[in-house]
Amino acid sequence: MLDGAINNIKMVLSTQKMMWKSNMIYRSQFIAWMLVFLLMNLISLITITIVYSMSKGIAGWDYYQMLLISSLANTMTGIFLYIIWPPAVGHSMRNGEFDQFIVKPYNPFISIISNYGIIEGISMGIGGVLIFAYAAYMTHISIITILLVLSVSLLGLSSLIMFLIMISLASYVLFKGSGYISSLINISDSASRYPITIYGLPGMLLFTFVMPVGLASYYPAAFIFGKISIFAMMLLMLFEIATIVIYYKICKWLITKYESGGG
Amino acid sequence: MANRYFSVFKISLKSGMAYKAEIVLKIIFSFISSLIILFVWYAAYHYSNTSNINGISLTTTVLYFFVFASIAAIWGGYGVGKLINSDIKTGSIVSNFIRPVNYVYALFVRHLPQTLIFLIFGTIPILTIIYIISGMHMAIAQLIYFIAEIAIAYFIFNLIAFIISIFTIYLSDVEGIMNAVFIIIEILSGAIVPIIFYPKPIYNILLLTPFPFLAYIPISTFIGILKISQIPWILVIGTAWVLVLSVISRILWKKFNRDINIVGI
Repeated sequence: MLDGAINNIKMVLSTQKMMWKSNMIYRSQFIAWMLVFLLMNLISLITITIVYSMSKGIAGWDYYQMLLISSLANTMTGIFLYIIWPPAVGHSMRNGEFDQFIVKPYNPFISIISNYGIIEGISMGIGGVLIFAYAAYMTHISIITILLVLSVSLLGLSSLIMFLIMISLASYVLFKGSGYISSLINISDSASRYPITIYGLPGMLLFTFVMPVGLASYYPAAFIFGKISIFAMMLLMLFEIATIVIYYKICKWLITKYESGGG
Repeated sequence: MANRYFSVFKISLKSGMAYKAEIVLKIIFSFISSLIILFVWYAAYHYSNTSNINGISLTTTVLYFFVFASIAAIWGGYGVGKLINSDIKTGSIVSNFIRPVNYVYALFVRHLPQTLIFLIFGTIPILTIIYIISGMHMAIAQLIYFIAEIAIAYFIFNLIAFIISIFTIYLSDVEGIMNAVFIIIEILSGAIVPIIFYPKPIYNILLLTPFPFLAYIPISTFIGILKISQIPWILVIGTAWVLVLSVISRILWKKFNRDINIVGI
């Protein structure tokens, strides 16, 4: 068990090293992609700034609180992209590349998350952290609260990652395609930048229980500003842990249903 | 000669239609994704307790984003830019060069089916539903202008993508640069915030650029933000941009295609 875990960690580290090296071969591309993900922070920044300059904004959230929630969402999306780009999983299944993960002596699930990330996504996270720090400073949030909230967000992010991997695997098993997953990620990325209360009750239920984007940004931010109680937060954390376990089990089962798409 | 291009078109259409369930899901999710921002504006109108922001009513804003959502999928995939980038990167451009068709024209013909699929199965049905449900009245001239603007937008979008992708010849891969440029274009075209909400001097300058043709201008024509009397002049500007971008593409392609160095990965 311990040997297996150590082997998996070694595999993750060497894969990461290789991915960084291969990405750095084309430096101009690497810089361009870093810029792309950094610019993504601009979209919500411009939207929020224009909305708040032309109207009273969104009920219950002032300008800096909105910046905080959107930057937290962007930070989490950046980490998410760094870890995994789910459409690549479906693509690798379709072209048969996925076969290698099943025959290698590592956990196939860990192989997936160590091979299919977008290294440059980290710049979106960095941009998000910078705006988050600015918003946190303007809203006078303590470092301890920030650390607590980040840990809750990371738990929510794990749940979202597991959900999207599960959907990618299920899409391939069911109809041999997962190209639409990138649009699903766009939805989750865009939706998580704003308080999920604006989507009404159906939207809140959808983004909490079905596609759990709210767990990574909205609920932690709402907790900071006292919009939800600590009891509700604890319940959500338990829910997040439960979804991670359930999605993981389903992913493992779906991998057993995988039929290679060729080579 | 036309037969050869038709064969290219037929093959691209077949491969584009290969995964039908995926196409349907792509259209649906792309539509929903474009509507997220609408909820933000709806909440802002609601909380501000006003029916009018900067001269634009809530109904108009709702229609704006619905129409945008229906045409947004057309711009997916970075047009011909992605094809040329991939052709040079993989080396398949060599086999394209020896075929009895003009590579650049064939490139546009290869990409056209993808746009047509989204137009036929996404844009047209959704716009029809929007038109019926909203009860809006549209003059024939308005519809003709809208179609002309969509055609102009198609060429502007693909020519910009083409110009950027030509640099693959020197940089091996320009997908990152293309993405960066299109994020900026998204902001300047009115895809995220209608450009009428930008400060007046910025709005006036943007109207002279090719970017609003990709979102703000066709949408505004469809829902009636732009007066019909303004549109012919706007079409002249759009056509001029298509010509300018075509000339730039032609010059760059002539100058650079002799330097193609196949990587073939």
